[in-house]
Amino acid sequence: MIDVQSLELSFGRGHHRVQPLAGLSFSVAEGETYGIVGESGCGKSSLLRCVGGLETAWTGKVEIAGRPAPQVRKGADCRTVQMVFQDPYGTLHPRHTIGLALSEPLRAQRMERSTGKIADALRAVGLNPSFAERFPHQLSGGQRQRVAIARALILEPKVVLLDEPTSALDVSVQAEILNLLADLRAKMGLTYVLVSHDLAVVAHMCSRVAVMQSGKVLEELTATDLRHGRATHDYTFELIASSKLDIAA
Amino acid sequence: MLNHNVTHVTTPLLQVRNLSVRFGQSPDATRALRNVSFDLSREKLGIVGESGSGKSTLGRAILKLLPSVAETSADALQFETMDLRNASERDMLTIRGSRISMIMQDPKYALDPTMRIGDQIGESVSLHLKLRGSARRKKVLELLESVEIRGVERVYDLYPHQVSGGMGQRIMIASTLAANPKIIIADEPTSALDVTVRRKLLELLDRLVSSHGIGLIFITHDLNLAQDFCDRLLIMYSGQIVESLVAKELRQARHPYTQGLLASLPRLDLELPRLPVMTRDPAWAIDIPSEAAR
Repeated sequence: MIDVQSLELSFGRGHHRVQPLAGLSFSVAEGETYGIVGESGCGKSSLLRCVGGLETAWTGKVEIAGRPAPQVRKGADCRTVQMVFQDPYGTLHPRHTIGLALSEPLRAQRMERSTGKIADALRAVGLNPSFAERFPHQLSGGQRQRVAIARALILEPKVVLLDEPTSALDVSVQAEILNLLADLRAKMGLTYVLVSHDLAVVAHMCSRVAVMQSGKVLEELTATDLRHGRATHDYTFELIASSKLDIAA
Repeated sequence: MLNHNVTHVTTPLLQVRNLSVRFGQSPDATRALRNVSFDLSREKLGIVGESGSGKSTLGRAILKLLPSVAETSADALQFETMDLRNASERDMLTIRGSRISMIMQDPKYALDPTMRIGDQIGESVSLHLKLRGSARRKKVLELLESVEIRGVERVYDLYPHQVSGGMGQRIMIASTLAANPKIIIADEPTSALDVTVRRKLLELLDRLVSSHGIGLIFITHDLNLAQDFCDRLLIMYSGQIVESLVAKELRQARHPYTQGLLASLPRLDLELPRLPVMTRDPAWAIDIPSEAAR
């Protein structure tokens, strides 16, 4: 579903040049959830932004659903990949109702905008259609994240990029959102790329995990390897150790 | 029940008995806190709960920072020898920041974006320590060093947007320390930071607590973090303390709410097809009689 080959991204030049992505390759099968872990600044979010079409100055090859994705996406190309961000409050316009927020992508894509379609989108994420008339500040964090998921799914994408979708949420709400994401994946045949700093979340959701460091994939593990600590690089051991510490009772 | 596992050597720094806060007058007004009682000594006390459980209100109520619509009542709110219940706004000004300090969640919002970092810490140095000129600058650099910032001379002249989140959080702690507080209330101090930075910041807080003899109230929603870092935990649900336990014994929690929270955490050592989602028992929200809360 996703095939990325030697993806590079850099900003600035000369002395000020920074390279968030330094030649990175991976591929994700249809219906799979692919996890990405690593500390902040290792290029996780840059990677998602390149795949999602938010960055345009990258080089390399990105193929989505068998079609090469151009640097600058136009028209229907934008529909295939959608993104859910960490902070749902920051991505919803405070003075737009939920209904307006959900109809915005439909308007941009010149698709049919009806209250029925918005009600369906809200129902799909377990919200009452009456939420369409509310404003973001009238919703709890978990409800807002559900709206963000509904907004990503309203264009019927094939791939959803999840950038720390639950790290701003309480643990009980996190469980609800993770279950919702798993249900939607099964129902709509979605492919996910999940970025998280929480190894337990990644192991729960994903079949395979990439460990990133300084813009490169250091190694790729299966979820079972991750659970049993079967890694080859010291850095991965360090990551696993620092999250195991948390769990030790 | 609350005090049974506390080992006091000295009198507590802060004594709270039956603290209640409600927003509004009507019978269905939100009761943000209900009969909250606890003691704080020189220790790391974790307050754990979901959003809306009243943990931030608790921190603000102690400092009397709640808006005027909030109605606060308590049988005791004793800080050292001072009764905070009757403290005037003028009294509170001498306490806030200098005796009881607060560390906010997000340095991006709590630091003034238009002021150089050195001047910002300098402001609290001149307010609390009455230092001016080069003495002030020297103290600021000392404080920056004490929170393990490298290249203090360079950082002094930077603006908040030029430093990382972890560094911003250290800068806030540095300006807190200018006043040599007895109690620090940290409201989700690490949730804006990533794991590796978080660890370093917690180590720093830990050292400060033990070397300065500070009482730390650590407000968090992260169970694993609270278990690792704190000495004692209070679990809050809808404005009440439903359980109080030694942090190391979190996994042996008895209250169904705490157990539900623990169960809904994904685990590395356990593979589950679905995460258990908590079903909330309305009985948890019923008032716990204030005698039993003692």
